[in-house]
Amino acid sequence: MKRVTFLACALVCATGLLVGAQTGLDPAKLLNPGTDSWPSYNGDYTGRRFSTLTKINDGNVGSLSLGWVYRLNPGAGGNPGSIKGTPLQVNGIIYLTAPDHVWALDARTGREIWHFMWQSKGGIHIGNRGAAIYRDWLYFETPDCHLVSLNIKDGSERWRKSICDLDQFYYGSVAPIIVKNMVMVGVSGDDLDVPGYAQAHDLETGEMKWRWYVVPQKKGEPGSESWPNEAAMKAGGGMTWQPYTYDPELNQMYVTTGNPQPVIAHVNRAGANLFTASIVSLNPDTGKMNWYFQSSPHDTHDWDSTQTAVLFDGQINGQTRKLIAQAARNGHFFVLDRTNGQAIVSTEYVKTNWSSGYDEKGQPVPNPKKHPQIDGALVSPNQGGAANWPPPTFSPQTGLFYVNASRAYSVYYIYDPSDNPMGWGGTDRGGWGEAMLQAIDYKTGKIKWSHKWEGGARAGLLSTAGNLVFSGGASSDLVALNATTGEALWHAGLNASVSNGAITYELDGSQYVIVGAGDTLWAFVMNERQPARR
Amino acid sequence: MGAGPADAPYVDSALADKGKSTWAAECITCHGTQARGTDNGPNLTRSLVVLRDRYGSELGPFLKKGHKMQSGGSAAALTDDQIGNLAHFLRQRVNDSFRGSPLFQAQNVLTGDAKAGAAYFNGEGKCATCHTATSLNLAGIGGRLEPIDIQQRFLFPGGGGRGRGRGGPVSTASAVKVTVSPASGESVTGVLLQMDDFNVSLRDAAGAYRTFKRGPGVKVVTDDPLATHHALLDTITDTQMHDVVAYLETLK
Repeated sequence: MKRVTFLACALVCATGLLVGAQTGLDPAKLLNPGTDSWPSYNGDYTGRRFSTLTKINDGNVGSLSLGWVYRLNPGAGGNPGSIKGTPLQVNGIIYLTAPDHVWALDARTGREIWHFMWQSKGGIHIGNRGAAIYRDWLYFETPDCHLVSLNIKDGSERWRKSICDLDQFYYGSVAPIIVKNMVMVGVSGDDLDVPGYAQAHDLETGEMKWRWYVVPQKKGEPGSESWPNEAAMKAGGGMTWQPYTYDPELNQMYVTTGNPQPVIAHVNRAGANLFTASIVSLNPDTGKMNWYFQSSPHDTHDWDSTQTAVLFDGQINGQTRKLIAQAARNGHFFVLDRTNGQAIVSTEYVKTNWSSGYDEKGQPVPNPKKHPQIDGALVSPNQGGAANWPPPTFSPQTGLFYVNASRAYSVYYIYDPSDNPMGWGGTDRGGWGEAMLQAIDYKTGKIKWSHKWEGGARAGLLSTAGNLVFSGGASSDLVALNATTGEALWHAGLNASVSNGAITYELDGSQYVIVGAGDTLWAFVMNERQPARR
Repeated sequence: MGAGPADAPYVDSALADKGKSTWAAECITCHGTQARGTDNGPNLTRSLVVLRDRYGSELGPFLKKGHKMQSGGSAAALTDDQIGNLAHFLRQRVNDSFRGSPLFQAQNVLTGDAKAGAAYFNGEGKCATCHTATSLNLAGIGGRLEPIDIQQRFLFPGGGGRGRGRGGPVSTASAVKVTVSPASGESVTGVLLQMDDFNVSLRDAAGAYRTFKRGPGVKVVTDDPLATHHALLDTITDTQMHDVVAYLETLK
């Protein structure tokens, strides 16, 4: 069921301290990662993707050099697709994923250490967002609905657990997150009308500890009042296909949920359709909901609100507040109090045309005329959204929330005009759009600067204390921008458009930036001046 | 791999048609024409028995237990062939809801007022500034394109109109033009191929590929002939959109 190859075990063992030994991840690193690792999907629990490293900065980024390149080697595993996951870096070893594949690489050289391949029984192979690591164990999801644990030393399989039903057209893609003694997973799939859920598994045994359904499964449950009947809500969708964020002090885990089902034709699911398209706070010990905020009530445009809910503390009217912010797929930017979900800022981060204001909770109110129509409704954003899965970043240094955004139009059609549509029942077609990186002042939601990408760009982001934001650009390039002004300072042409969010870490005194582009992982490094060896 | 299990059952249309006969005779009253359920019976496209079935592997044992049919008889009396055919019919109904199914088709988009569309074309929409009813791709458009394609073409001509390509000689009337004026030397105009913060490339009138480094003193000016179409998206209403489609459809 697997293929594990050893290419450099002897090398790792022999070269001593300067090469990462494959020792486990100290759990304390998940709470305080430091700058020498990137131990979870977003680097830490906050989702900020901000590094305090400054060795690469706005004054010297022009000297950034190519460190190494690794092209995905799937062995006999066919085409692994693009790198849409964020790699992890623990003790000098990078752990990289693609659907059905995991690789361990030397973070200093890019040399492959081992490769694990999963024999798939199906499922959508659109992407894998990454892995989680705890001590000596790695966890990742497979398209055919498994949570798999590997030994990080050699990639050998420890256990596998089913997390969803392939026959119901679920699939696995999300990067798990470690919280306390549990690994948190989510599920994907919007072909059939099935409920999304978040789920916790025991780190050691893999046994399921709890499951929280995004949509109510019985009348009388919280949120059931927002559905017309039990049949509609039980099948109401809300996939959990993006990694969660977590506040250890509040003991709240923030789950972002996908669109309701049926996706486009919506006549048989009248109501707000809770808790789809929402930010939801869960107690990670029990899976019980603390609060919710619905970014897209009664969504009809495939606008998942799974975009990262980013945690930071900020000043609001002179008071320090615990905040959570999201640039949602529907084009609206929200800043909430993360203790209770109350909205502080609700505004657009790109111009949209589908809502008619905000309700008393700060949630957008959909304009019924902009729901999909049989003869078409011209809507902005399009189905791809103002933002999608590529992660944003927040810099506490600049106070700016950065997101790669798209202002796009398309026409939404109802294809199934019956009173009981299933699946999609319609779609959008056509489109014109423009892409830009938006730097948003979290206090007001106003755009501090906007950097237009000629020809489009949709990539994840990384910000650093070096006053930099790293993004994919419009020319299959990695671009470094001045985080304060948006000025493009440096770029490097790659083999393909950036397909994930960059990470950074420091090893041996040198700062690295690692980014995926198509089937290739690129490492850039600011080398320290070193004496010549004899 | 696509959605669902790799061993998802294929649908034999001929067998599904045979299954449809049994369906109409024994199942349709309770489970509906599309098997999506009625007040008297559940939606079978969401049934785990159906979704886990492989050519009768689950459906057969379930029916053989004696499920009551609309004729009053017991499903235990169904033959293996009848059950297999029902399995094909039901899988076909499951597949109906997928994107790309034969049912996944646009309906009638021709709902506007042609007269109001003509008024918009010649008035507020300013379409007549560039177009006539017989020029710039509009001659006979109502006879050449389906209404939904007319709608898409006038809203999104050129698929965005960038006219880009990896070095390909894109030189259509709708392609974006760019003029680069270096710090010294003559300006060069051509079809824009690629532009970012650092470089700009174009195909000049002679067909030559030209590239320039952007920087202080280098002036870059683009001209998008479809800019008016793009700007229209911010102002046109859905009613006006439907009216314009109705008007253009009259241009046979």
